[in-house]
Amino acid sequence: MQREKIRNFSIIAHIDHGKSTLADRLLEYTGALTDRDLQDQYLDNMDLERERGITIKLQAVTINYRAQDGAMYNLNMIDTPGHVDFSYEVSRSLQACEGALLVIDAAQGIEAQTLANVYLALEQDLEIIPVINKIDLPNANVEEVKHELKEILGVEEDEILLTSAKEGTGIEKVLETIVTQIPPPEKHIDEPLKALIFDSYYDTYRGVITYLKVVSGQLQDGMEIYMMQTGKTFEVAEIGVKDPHPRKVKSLSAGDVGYMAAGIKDVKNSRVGDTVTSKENPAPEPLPGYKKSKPMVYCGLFPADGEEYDDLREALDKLQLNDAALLYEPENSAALGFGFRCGFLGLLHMEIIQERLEREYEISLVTTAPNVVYRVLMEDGQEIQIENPTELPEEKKIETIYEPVVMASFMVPQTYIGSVMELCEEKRGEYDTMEYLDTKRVLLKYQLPLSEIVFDFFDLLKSRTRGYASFDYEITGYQPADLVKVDILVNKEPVDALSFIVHRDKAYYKGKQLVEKLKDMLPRQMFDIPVQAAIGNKVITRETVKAVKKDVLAKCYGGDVTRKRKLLEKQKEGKQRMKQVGQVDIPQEAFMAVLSIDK
Amino acid sequence: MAKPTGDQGIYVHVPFCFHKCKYCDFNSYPKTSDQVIEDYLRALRRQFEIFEANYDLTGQTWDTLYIGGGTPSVLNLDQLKRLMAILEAYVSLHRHAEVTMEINPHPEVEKPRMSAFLDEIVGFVNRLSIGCQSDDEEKLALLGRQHTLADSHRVFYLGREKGFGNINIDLIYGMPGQEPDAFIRGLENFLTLAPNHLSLYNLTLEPGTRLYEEYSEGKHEEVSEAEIVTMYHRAQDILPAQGYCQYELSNFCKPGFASRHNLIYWRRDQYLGFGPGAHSFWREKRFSTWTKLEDYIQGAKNGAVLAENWEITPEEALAERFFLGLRLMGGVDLKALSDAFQLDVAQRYYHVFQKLMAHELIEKNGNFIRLTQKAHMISNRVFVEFLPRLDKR
Repeated sequence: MQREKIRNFSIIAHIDHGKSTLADRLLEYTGALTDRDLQDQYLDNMDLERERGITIKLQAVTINYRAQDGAMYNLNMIDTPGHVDFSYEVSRSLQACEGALLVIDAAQGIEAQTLANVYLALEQDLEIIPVINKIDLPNANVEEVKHELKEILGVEEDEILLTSAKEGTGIEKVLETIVTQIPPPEKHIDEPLKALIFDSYYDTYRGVITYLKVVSGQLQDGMEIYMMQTGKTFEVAEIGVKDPHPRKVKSLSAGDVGYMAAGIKDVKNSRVGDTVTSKENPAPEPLPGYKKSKPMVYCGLFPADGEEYDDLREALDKLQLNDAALLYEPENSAALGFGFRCGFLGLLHMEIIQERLEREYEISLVTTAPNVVYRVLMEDGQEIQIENPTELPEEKKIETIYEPVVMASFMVPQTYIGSVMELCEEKRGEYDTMEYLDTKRVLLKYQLPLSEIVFDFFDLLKSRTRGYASFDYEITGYQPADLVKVDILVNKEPVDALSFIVHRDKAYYKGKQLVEKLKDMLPRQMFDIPVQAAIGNKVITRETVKAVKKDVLAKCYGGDVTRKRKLLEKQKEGKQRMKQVGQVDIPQEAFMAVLSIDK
Repeated sequence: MAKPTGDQGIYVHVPFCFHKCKYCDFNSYPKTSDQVIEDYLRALRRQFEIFEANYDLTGQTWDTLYIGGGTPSVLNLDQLKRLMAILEAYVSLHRHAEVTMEINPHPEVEKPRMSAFLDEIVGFVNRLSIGCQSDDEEKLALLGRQHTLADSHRVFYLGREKGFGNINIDLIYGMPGQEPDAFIRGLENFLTLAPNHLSLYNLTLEPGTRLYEEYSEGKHEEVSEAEIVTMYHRAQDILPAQGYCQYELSNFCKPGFASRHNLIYWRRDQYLGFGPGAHSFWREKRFSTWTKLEDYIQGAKNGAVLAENWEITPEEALAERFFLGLRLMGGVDLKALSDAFQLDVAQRYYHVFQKLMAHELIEKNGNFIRLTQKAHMISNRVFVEFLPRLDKR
């Protein structure tokens, strides 16, 4: 396909504003999908995605469209996730495009994720085509949304397209506008091959399949390629496009988007953001890659059954094949055994990984509160690193504890400055600077302890600013802090996985809350269970889980047997899901309880 | 699996009551019209026909027959006769079979009716089970019962008068606001009647009942677990002296007067159930009829009365032997179990036994294991240990 007849575009939108249905319609209109093929929302092909109605993995599809000018065009459409956690994935796909359809729900208007992604697109200098979708809805308010678009994004009235993906209206106009408004990819055909990898996945039979956009030169079947970042070479076994089914081609030229199989066994060798070039005639410089996504949320993942540790490790390895943002390293707990400390893009990302581990890999998990790494200056001058609260030495031997701090940058609409500042103050933040980016948005900087942002800070930020604020952070160093370790003792035994390090001022309060929560969560045993929080040797608060006195079925006659057996089975199953620590069963949720205190 | 031995029984469910008690979660309906009862009886006969074809009813002899409900005693004489005719046609009873019917206490004004009722059944039924529940007026009201203590005494004497030599009384304890002393006084009151058998049940609040709702809304006092246990233990203390032997977690009797029908359940012997929501256990299958009356009646018309049917696996059967058998004070015979299941039961459950003995919840006596007194009120904790480890789905 000639370069001028190629259009590379993304569809970006808030969750549920209809981007996937719109994608379906575009495929349908151009005959890419027959009625038989048409599975609603064809591009979301993971079960989990379907269930939650969200897109997680990117998919790239080529649409052949005969425009009104009579010529045939290749429209490469890349579907994007709508959730805040996955902005990294969104920026990956945008780098491969020259334009984007910005889809807005006619009833909901512009929402936070929309704005966030628009900024990403603008940063990439993409041509934005605003589309107001769902105009068929009774509560659609097209005029108001048009007004919003003009105000916030400065678009002109006549640039705005109106569609109802559900009913199929406005589809042809969209396709035409893509052809006329979005520029073809830049002309670089005579230059050495440079192709940007924007996605990859592992296929059991063909090895790693790499999705790429050829920026300059030509990628040919059979040629020897060279990965500029990893330095590895491979031979191209197959290249093709998806329109939407995979179709082999002999070559992909500057501007084309497609896939490649090159006998790559490990996805680490097909790194997103890497530049593919020719071994024979390599490009002098790689394409600008991506910033490595930064985990926003950490947690500990342990197998409920110690014997499944290897299964868990294998599962994480496999998940990471297609999820470069997932980070993990081994961790060890006296109470929970061997497991992993994992980093995620956000809470949704974490939940999805957990669900996939439990469902696809059938591993029962215990999830724990995340830790950060502390540094301790001992009395004797020695400096040690603490990766786990249990490693913290006795108070009297400690000279100073240092905690990691970050410089967090918040992009906040003016109206939410107060909320963000309040949140930061709550989290022991120190104000740094504030500057206005434009009439509406502010860049606010705060120094915050990393421990205060590793879990739900991101979610709190989003909920307190209705999703409009975003933030990024950089670890800047360590600072001294008045921290103590609070231990939790269940039945007089310390349970290390429940220990946490906290600022001294908050210790009693958090200890008390946690102990009260645990008292309600721990199943009763045949003896009283004391639950205590302690700092060093000093017990600061205590509750008791009373011994069970009555657990009996008064009547057990003919019709009761099956019901009784099912009840007992439920009890047994509940027990099996718990972690036995000494004589006491601790439910998995208890290990996360430390986090949900003080909301 | 070993061939079934022991008694086999028939259960008939008469799902009608004059009034729904507040704590009741049984399958019962208000006695509305005679037409409904007519439809029920017809469906019942139909079920007997179907089961006759499938299980060869008349070709067998039955050791027990239990007519429960609801309140079987709400049937009028005509309906009662129709019921008995069906039973006589399809149930061939052993010469010494135990035939039980449940009845409720009645006010003075109902005496003629009850008298005629009992006259009608006395040749057929040889055991009465009376739902007395409590001596205390306030507690009876709390339960939503429609009778008094005097009514309980009345019906009991009437039963004896008519010649029923085997009478059971049902009592409930552990009610909101009930003091152990008050309960014991009530128990002793009923003991003056000298029933042959006593069933003592701790009150269970079942979701969906009015009492449960009231309790959730905070309308009743909290019931203390410790007090419930105290009531139970005190009853266990005084009953032997009065000649009653505890043979099951909730059941006490004078020697020779245990409920043979209920023993079928705990010994895992076989039984067939008739009427809506009635359960059966036959050749390692558990099955039940449609619960809702309309469904049962319709189902009978269509020739399909069964709503559910489970095949019991050997694993499940073994677990059942324990959680049913350990309810009996005599406990479980490990040798018989080993023979029946062709495995070394003591070895299979070695760790479970060790653990439970260490906690003093079971005791071993030769080939038998049984619950200790300490374990009675937390017996579910013991039973759960005998379930197989559940595989992942």
